[in-house]
Amino acid sequence: MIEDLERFHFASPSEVGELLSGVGYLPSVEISSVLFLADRLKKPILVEGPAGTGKTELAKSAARALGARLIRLQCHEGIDESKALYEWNYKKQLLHIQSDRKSESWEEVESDIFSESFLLERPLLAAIRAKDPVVLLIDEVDRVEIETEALLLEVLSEYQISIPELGTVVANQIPLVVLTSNNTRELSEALKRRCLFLFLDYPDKEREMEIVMSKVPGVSKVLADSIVSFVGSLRELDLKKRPSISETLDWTLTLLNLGLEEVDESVVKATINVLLKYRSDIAKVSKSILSS
Amino acid sequence: MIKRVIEFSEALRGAKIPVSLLESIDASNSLMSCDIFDRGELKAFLSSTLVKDHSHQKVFDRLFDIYFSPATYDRGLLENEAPLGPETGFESSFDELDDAKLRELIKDSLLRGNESELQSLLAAAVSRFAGIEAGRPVGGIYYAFKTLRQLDLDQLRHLLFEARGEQIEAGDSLGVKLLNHDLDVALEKVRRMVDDDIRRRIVSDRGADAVARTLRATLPEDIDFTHANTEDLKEISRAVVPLVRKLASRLGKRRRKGHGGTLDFRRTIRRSIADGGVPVELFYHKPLPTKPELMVVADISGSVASFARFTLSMLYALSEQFSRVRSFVFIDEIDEVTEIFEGSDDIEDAMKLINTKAKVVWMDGHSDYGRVIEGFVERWVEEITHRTTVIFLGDARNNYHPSKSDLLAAVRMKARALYWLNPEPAAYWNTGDSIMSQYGVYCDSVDECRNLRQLQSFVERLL
Repeated sequence: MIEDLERFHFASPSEVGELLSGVGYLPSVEISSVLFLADRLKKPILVEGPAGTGKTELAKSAARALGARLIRLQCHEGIDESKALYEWNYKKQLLHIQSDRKSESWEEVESDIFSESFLLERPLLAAIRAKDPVVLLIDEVDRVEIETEALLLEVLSEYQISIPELGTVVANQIPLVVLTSNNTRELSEALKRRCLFLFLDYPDKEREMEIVMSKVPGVSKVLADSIVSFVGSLRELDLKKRPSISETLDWTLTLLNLGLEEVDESVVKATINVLLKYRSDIAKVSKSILSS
Repeated sequence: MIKRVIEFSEALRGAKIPVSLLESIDASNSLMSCDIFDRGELKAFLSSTLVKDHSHQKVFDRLFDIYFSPATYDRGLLENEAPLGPETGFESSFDELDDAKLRELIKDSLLRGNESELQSLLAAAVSRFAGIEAGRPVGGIYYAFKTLRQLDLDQLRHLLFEARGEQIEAGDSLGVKLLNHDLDVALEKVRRMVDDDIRRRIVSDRGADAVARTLRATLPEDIDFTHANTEDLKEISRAVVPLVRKLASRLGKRRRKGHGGTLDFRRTIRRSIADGGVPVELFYHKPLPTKPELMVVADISGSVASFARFTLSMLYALSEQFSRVRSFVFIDEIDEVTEIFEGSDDIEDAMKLINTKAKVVWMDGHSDYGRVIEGFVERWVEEITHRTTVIFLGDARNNYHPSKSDLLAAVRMKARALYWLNPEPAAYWNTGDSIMSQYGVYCDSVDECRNLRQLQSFVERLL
């Protein structure tokens, strides 16, 4: 029946692009194409890429653009089904058993306490049972153990959850699922196979300039241009942590607030700590770019 | 079209990118929603369904260009691949220009950032300079070289610098540097577009499958260390970082999961208080994993230097997994370089320092394993303990010096294990001046280690 359920039904990738730009997220062609395709093929998206390139933001913006509710599952080591899928509200079950219902046989009690009213929804179950449009964000999926990853598979491919005591809960509607990964470990083939893959790299110069101009109103085009090309040249270096988009934005704000209109050596020297977070990186940059 | 996608998936598999049946079905399905006249969209669709690992992206891009090249694409020739005649038509309007004028126009379009104009200009340049002959079995590199030489990129750079340089005040050295960086990017783009254009023409001449077969599309982890060129080396070092990170987190997890230590009495009793003194839940001490100590002895003579570099950088990146990593480098003299590595947080810097600081040349700068092993045993064998793992890195090509392999027995006796990694294909061992088997008998294992994949599997076994 799932096929009949409502999805967002975009007409084309460019429509997705416009929707996203409307909420302040400037997507590249790849981003809007993959989002469009995810909707058509009813598949989750796996987003990978360096830190700070807008992976999580993509899911949030998609939710805003589509007017959907965002349900977020933040992954960490040791997460299990009681945190990701569902849990039985055992306190309520205990109370139910202890309450004055001695007339009932054990079978009746048992079928009672394993009913939906004792079920605590966790993000995945909540996303599947939602009646309104939902974007499900599974953040930093690479942090969970391989064994736990398997829990996700049923949800991601069949959009259903099997609860032994209750049976199978099938989705009311297929949520748009976005998984993000920082690639700290290889995800299992099974998971990758079920997802569309999107790699978010640092944006090219034109796109980053657009982002800077739209997020920091009041920045002149000349300044934005030199900021973006300076940050771009930093990313070419072999640094411990390359500056991300959010750091570019921070730096732009810094320069604006200091009332600086152009990027020159003294400015960079004074404010480089906004862009780079390691001493050795700063030393390296001073050596290779600043000294002449 | 679907046939094309399936052929394309085949080609990806041929380049060792794992494409499952489900994924090629997805790719075919995606075509139904795809505006197939939009090449960018098609590419995004296919890449998101077929490629699930970013390090495979480059190979995908290259193959995509071949199988869905704009030349065949725009003309709707995807179904019936008629070979195209020589390119005519769109660049003819540039024919009357002389070379300098053409360069001028290319410069202008670069300044304006007009991609499509640049593309047709470069196409004109390729027709003019490359002299492509249909059916001639010459690689694209030859044509690209001819075109770029005639186009004279240095001259182009000069023109660009002049045009942009006016905005920069005298003495603004940062501005100059940024400009230079911009120009590098721009010229790289020109190079890439010329390459693409030439490949396109060759594809329309010979057909996609033929080109894909001859194209060297290798994943970074499969690039041979000893045959890698500068660009390959860069690609490998980029691949090392995520590889090591993954390896470290996997090993760390394996450690933490370890079970079977002694009973943690204190924690068990504490927890039992909550259950009225009944020790329902038992806690155990985590066993302290023994961390091996490493001694890496690396040949850094020219033929195997890059192999030594990657192995050392990988082992140092994993140094948390070992109690200590000591490194020795040699050509025909051995020297300890542990301090150089420990004193620097950048492997590249350290390697440079080693080349200047370490005393590795005694006589003629040709590897002499016998002499080196003698030196190693003489100076450091006392420090080898039963926790020490010794790893030799080298091709065991001894330039016909005496092998002195019996000295290795002393090393093997004292050490926990003795391994040898050889960057040459196993088939070449013991040919010419290679005396691998003479050393091999004293080693716990001798492994061929030609690329990152093999190196990674060795490191995993090590721990």
